Amino acid sequence: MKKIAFINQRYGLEVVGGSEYYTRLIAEHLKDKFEVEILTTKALDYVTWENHYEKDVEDINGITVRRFNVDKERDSAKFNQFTGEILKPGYQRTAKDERDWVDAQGPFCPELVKYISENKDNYDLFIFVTYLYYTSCIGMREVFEKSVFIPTAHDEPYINFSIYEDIFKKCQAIIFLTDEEKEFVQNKFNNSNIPNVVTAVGIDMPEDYSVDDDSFKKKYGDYVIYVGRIDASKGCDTLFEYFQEYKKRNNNDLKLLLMGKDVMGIPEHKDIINLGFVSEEDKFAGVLNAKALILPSPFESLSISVLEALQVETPVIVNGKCEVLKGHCIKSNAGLYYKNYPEFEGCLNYMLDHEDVRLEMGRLGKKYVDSFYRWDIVVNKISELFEKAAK
Amino acid sequence: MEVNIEKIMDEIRAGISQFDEQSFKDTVNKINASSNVPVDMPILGKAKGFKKLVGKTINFAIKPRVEAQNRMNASVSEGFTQIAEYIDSQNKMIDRLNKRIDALEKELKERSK
Repeated sequence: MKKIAFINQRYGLEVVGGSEYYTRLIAEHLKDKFEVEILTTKALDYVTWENHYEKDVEDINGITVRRFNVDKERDSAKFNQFTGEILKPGYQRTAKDERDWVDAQGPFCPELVKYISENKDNYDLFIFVTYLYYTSCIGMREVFEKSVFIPTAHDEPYINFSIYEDIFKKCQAIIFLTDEEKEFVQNKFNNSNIPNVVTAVGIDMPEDYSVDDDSFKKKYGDYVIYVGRIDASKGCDTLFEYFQEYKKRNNNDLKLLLMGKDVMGIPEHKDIINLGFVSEEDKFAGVLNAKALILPSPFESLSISVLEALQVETPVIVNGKCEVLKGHCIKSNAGLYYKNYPEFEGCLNYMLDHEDVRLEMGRLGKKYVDSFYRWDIVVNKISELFEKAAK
Repeated sequence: MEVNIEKIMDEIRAGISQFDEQSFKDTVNKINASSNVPVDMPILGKAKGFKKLVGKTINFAIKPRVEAQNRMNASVSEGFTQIAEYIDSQNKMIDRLNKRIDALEKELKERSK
């Protein structure tokens, strides 16, 4: 069995984050076909990268996880200031600026990079997930010849930093999560010659999940739901602004339910209800009973929460400025998208006023997920690519 | 049932009422034209005594109220005119800023290459 290592900035059952959760899902589904290890840091908090986990090596769901110390915590105020400076129009960014920025972005983990360098012959492949962080940007340089890249890229200022060019051009294979990501990356880096596949995840339902569970509907009535980290970077500030405006202009009982860790503060409003971090069963029950799942994030590489909603036949309302999210809506015919407040209001009211269409959108959403997001399809595609890359 | 998201989005956008600036300016003009209610109007009839009584009643009871209303109308009219002028100046500023944003985005893209 070939031995492969996934490299991600964080890893653990309690880690909340799309890229990290994605890595864990893929690793766990490949463990029957490959000898899988995880190389990661001891950080749990993605803001400071403070060392949290104590063990250097542990087993999580049958996967060996090797953890390395973060040498320097991130000072987010200083980092944001530095970022602002080097992104100013007219500023001539140097290679040193970019390297300093990547080190400051973190998680700054030279131990992990050293481990890769010293153990490259012990693994057949190294799979680096998410281009943005130190772990991928610096780690991959030690093993280009054995690297598979899962960039989770989208159009943001940092992807224009020249320090990232090598990892997009010198890896042996790439896994894109969406057609939109593939088009964006290949246009940007002219790297269509690198073997690649477009595949993401399968969607797992909890064992106790029941399509007849109407507990949330009974408790909350009509509501829309947001699932994920409650953070301004995820568009939640705009979501709250828009929803409060919606409530002023529309006389109905629609509520906004939130499920996730709050890192920004939630406005006090009788119809904005924060349920915090909930169990998988409650998450699916909440999404199942919702009129729609809302995702206001302007930057998404895949959005597992959108796919999970579609899997339970709940249509979605997404930020139309995100090509990936808009792409899901159009390809599935199971979601609406907005680019400003009037469209946000229009989408909400459409879902409330057209129940028959909403239900049909739900059915189409499940069909979309069943066609493209099944584990057997995903595992086969990835395994084939890994076998080729490892030769 | 056929569902087409792009068609639904077109339907939603068509239903969004847009602020009609010209219609607002027309309304402001109408307000300005009709804000002053004349209080001195001829009293018809031949009975001089009756006309004198009606005239005195109007001067005493109604004229002050109409004049107060007219003062209020003038303030409202002035307020709406100021809003219209403000919208004009904001639109000009938005145009200037949009042009500047376009130029800066172009420069940023060039510098990022």
